[in-house]
Amino acid sequence: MLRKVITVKSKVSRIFALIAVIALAFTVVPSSMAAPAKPKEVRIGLLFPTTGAFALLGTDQMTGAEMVLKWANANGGINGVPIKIFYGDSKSNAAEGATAAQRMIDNDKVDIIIGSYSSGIAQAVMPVAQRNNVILWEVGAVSPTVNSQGYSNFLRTVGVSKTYAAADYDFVTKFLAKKLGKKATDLRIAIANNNGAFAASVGDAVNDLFVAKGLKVVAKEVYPSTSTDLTPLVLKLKAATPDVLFLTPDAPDSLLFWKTAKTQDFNVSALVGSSGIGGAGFVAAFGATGVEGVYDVEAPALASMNTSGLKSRVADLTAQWVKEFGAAMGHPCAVHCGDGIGGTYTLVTDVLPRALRTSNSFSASAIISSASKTNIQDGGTPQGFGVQFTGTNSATVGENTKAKSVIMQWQSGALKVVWPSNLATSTPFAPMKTWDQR
Amino acid sequence: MPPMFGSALISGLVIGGFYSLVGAGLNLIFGVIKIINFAQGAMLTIGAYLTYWFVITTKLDPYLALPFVALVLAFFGFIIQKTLINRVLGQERTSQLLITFGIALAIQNTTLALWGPDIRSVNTFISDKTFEVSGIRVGATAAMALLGALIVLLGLFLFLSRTRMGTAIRAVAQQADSALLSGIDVKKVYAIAFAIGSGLVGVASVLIVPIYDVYPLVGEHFGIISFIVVVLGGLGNIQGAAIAGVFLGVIQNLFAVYVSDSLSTAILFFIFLITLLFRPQGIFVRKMRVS
Amino acid sequence: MTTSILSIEGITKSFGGLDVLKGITLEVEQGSITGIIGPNGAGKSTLFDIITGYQKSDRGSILFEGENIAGLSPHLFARRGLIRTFQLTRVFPHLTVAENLLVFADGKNSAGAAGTKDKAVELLEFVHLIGLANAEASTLSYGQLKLLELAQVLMHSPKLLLLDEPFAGINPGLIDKIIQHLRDLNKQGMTIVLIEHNLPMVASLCDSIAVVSNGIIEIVGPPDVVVNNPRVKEVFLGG
Repeated sequence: MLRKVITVKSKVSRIFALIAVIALAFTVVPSSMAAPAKPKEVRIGLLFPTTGAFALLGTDQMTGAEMVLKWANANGGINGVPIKIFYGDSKSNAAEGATAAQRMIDNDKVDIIIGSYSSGIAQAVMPVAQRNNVILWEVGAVSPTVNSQGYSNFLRTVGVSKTYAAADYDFVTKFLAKKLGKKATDLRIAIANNNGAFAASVGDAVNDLFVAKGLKVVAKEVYPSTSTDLTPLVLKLKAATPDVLFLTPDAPDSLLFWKTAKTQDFNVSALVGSSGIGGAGFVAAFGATGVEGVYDVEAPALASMNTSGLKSRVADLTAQWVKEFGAAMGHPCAVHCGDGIGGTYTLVTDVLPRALRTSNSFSASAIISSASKTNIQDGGTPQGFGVQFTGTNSATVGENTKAKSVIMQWQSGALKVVWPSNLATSTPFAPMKTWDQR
Repeated sequence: MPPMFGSALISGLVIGGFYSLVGAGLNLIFGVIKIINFAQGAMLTIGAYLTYWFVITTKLDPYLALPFVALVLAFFGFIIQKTLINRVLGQERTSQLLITFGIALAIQNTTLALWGPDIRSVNTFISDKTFEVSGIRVGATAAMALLGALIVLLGLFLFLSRTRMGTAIRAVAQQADSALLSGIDVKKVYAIAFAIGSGLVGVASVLIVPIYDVYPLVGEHFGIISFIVVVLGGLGNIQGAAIAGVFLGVIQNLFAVYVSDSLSTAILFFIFLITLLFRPQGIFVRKMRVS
Repeated sequence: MTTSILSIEGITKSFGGLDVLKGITLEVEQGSITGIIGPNGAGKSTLFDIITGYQKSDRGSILFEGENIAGLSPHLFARRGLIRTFQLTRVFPHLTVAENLLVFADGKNSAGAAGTKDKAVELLEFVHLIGLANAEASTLSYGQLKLLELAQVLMHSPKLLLLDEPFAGINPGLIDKIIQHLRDLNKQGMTIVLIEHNLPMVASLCDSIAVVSNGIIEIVGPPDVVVNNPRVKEVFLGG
């Protein structure tokens, strides 16, 4: 039905255009009519790691973004201007990402690149985008160093690693400490991450914030992302006897870590993981009892988020996309799918329409100018948080100041949003069971 | 023995056992055919997927896949040698180097296309078991891997030193011209050596799956480290490779526990460079050398 | 009437514009011992390589027992009963002396294990290496390696044996024994072709001598004819 309305609308506008042209032909003052022509399309490139080490979650993110672009096109594009979609593969490699970006700019003449899943790749793509005056619309990479150069063509909807740290701190002080019967400053906290760009930035952000706030960090361990054995890591963590562990791995080492923890009988009252800890492979490998009670900090997994706090239109669309994603991919729309959907939603429903309205253009400067006026309140995007970008004269450029991370927990085989309570679909519990009790 | 040291040591032996298996296979291929098989890691990935496929198809324990996977990979290696590598042997060095590299890329992209990027896990009947002796803990799957690696490597040594085919393989490795003279079909021996080297990878992959799960890059790190194993053990020196693999595994884990975890992979490459610079013949005296 | 076991006809070979062999034609009679002599670089070893398949000739044909064998892989020659040694020994350095022989027996895919071992022991006794049977070949002296190589090829009981400088580096006492053994083998029907620099020795051992020089066979005939040829005298006897 919606489609029908739009067709009618465009028919009407076509008639108007015709009348205008006829009128023009009879006018004798043509010079004043030289307003810029409406763009005939907006060319958007999706650049994600769909092969290589990051392919699993990179494909999820790409699919989320693609679904929203296709939805927009089915509903009249950007106020009547169709979106032309192009696909690139960064092959889980920064250099390949930069090459693919250049190729999409040269061959496909894209106006905007949506990416990148990985911070390392985003960091390599960004200078290419800036040099060619193309926007990098970042929906996935969370390292704050991605735009440490302050490039003006960078816009990121998802939170940086500091939002992970903020959510962790909030959760520890307002829930975990109380639940574990200790003062927050008495909790023994261990932090571990692999040395990839994403994991290192999260681990460091958590460590910096916790130390600054006077929490007791009893271990901070970094291991190689290529490590073939995590026994040393687990042995060291075990020796530190933490109450709570904050772990930031990638997908394969998530499983290896948990297996090793089991072998070495390493128990903590709470494990707050990220990345692969929240992935479908995690529960598939260990079963519902094997992962029961493990936390995951990230942008919300849409399939398990309470959408009642969202604006009703956003909630309806989100439900529709979650269903569509699940049917297409065979697994639920989790964190990375949500990043792709949420970020792209803001682009096609807010930033691009305003750029067209005010500048009649999708040039980089038009998009940047439009983004500076974006002010979406919490509840206004599928991921629950609002959007407002830092400008070129602030300390960070193009960052979403309203982005948030949430805490999720594996409960009965499903990852449920448990914190903050307005987005929660379930209440958190702690401590989790020891290996002997599982 | 302090539990932490003991557990690090044992886990180092286990990981070293994998390095040994993959490295010994690589060194056998290098020693006999004089080509570097860059596809060793990629073949490990194939073995892992074959194991996974075996388990979901037959519903049997993954360890029962061992003869099947080892034979399929051996056959695969035999065919690669017969159809691809034998063709480039007389040609310039570059095409010999690049052909196995090309095979590796072809395998990687094919596995990705066939199975997608998902991480797949299989459980074995001993997945949940752990041995503990005075605080030193080792998973049963790890113990099985170590035992398996030991048996297979021992079998390889006996085969090479005690059987007619083993002697023929060593003869070809040492002096291909004379081997031809003796009437040995050298190209066939090449294919057999490639098959055995690949079969060892097949064994390693079955032992690896219960520990590391299955995904398109599961074999890559092992493939890379097997080059360090080969250099450290001495090119063509199978026994050296076996010992070097275990040595590297133990060093890696003790270094990770007592010095720096984040540099524990880097230290292996450091050893690699030092060996290349100062002892390019490898650090061991030649004992069981095929060439 | 005699028959040829090996007929070489019009063999040519050039390396990067340099003609090493310019048309070699030679008949080797069944049951004969033929010596090939000539200055260094005359193309003798290249000729051996071509006969045994290690190199391909540019032109010409090689018939072994009346069958064209040009282009066959070297390992098939051994199985047909045609075998050679190399000027610089190419034994297997990291196999034991005994293994070095057994590999040759295996290659032929013939005799049972027991018979092979007996034969290996017999040959090792003959070349005085039985005491070193379990030593790695790389520990042997040059002369011993030459003997080992001879024992290796004899494992095959070849019909035609090509020896590339078999006496170089071997002490004179042993040379006499080897010559005696070669004569015995010859009497039993083995045809032998050998490359050798020692003209008197070749003259005493061979039925026929071919002189290779500048890529062609300059003269071929019985020892007395060849030895008394003025040009041969000039080159080999310093006269």
